[in-house]
Amino acid sequence: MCVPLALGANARAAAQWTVRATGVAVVMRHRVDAGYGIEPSSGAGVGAELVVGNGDRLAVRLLAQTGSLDADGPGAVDRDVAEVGAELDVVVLPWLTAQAGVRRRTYSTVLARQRWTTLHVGAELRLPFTETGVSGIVSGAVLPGVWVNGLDQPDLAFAVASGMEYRRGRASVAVLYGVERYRFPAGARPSRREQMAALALKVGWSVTR
Amino acid sequence: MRRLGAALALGAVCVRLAVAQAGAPDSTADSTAQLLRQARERYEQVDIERALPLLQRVVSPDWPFSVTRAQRVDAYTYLAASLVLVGAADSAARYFRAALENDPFTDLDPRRFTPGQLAVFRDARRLTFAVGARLVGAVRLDPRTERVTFTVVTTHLATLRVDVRSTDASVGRTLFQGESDGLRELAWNGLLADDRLAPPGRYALLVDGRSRLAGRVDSTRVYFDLRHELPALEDTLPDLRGRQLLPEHYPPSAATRDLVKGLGVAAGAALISGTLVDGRLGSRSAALPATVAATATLTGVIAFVWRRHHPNAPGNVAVNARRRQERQAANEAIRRRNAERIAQTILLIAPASGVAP
Repeated sequence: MCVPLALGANARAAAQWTVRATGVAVVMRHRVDAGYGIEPSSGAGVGAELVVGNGDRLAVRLLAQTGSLDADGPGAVDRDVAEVGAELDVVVLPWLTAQAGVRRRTYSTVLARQRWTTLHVGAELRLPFTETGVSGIVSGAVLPGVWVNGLDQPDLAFAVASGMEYRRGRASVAVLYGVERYRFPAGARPSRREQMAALALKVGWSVTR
Repeated sequence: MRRLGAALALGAVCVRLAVAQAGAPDSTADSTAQLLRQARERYEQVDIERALPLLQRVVSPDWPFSVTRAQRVDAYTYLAASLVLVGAADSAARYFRAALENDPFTDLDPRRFTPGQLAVFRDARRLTFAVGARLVGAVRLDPRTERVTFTVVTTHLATLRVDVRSTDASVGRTLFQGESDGLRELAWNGLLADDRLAPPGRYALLVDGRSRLAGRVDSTRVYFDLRHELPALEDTLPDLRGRQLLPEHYPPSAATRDLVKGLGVAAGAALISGTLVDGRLGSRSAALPATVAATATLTGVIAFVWRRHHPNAPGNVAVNARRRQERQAANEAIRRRNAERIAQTILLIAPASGVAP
């Protein structure tokens, strides 16, 4: 869920238009310290992505995920998480894709609901193996815009990921480990640190027309 | 030939006398054509005594003006015809022979010449052996439907061989081989002995004859230029080579690179979990990055072992085969289009400036 960078090469299919549908299963580790101690939680989620590519240069990615995080410590509370997003991928070089997008995430607890809106700009580096369809993926992004209700803009926000992708015909499987990290400066409230680590398994199928 | 030479010498003496009698040529009658016209007019008026000196002036070595071969043949012919009318058949035959030797196509129109003149001319043809060849003027022909016609002649019955041959003698075709007497028209479709269209270049029509009456031989040749008129042809594409083809075998370093890539991704996962996570947020979870690191490492190791044992790149081989096939198909299409254009070739045949001895 927290991995905004994946499967950028979905748009690289040789056909002029490509459509790839991907199912996502994700294991999450969430940690937040709002000045009152660390609140660890973990859980799992599912989601879907739809990537529409034009030629081998551009792709638009739409995603939706949902899941739940269970409290792993005394200070944490259970919460549900849901996310939607859109991203534009531009293949700069065969092995380098520039990415930019926006996401809207909601954490819901029995006490409150917190909405996150983030903008991210980054790049994805693909390392193709000699065996066709096997690629290593390393990506990184900065989040220049993070709007969270009740919080100021963070002074540190980035996302990084690393993983493998395997393609065979129209099918693709990817496994990615990623981390989102935020640091909100102290103001009227104590400083806040928040981090979402996730392991995502993505299974995709491309439909070329 | 010796007798003919003596006759011509006698004629020359007569001409000198005639010239002496007539005085120097005046300015109004000093051209060969004018003199020939006057002679023919005298001849037509049966004023043979006046026609003879005029004709003898034309064939005289002392005649100061240029005389074309056709004019000389004309003069010989009328001179001979005039001599027949004055009863000098032997001298007439010699002049007829001179005309035939200059132009084997020389002939008498039965409507304009007397039976006596025709008889002397026939005798001259029997005594003279010469072959001739003519090419019609510039010709533009479609070899699929049209033919170019050559005319050859022998002065009497002879064994004749007529060839069309390029001047470098590399290719040719025999148009006729056999007995022939008089005029013969030969059609040529532009094909050579191998039934291929004659390539552009200079050609010669070679005529070789052997008299069946006297055993003498004669030959002649006529040159002509042959050109092709056809749409511009396309060049075929060169064979694929170098960067146009993908490597069909991986270098030994490819396996190592795969291993490094796998380890690199694993290192990336380790770097993220070890360095980029927020250390103030408590203990690090190793399970998630370890999953990716193990997957990437395993992939790298498998790729390394696989590539070491399978250096071929079947995908590239298939791509190269497809590219070669496409290139071959493109070239075949070009050749097909070129063949269609060549099939529409028009032959342009024109007499050449060079004429054989």
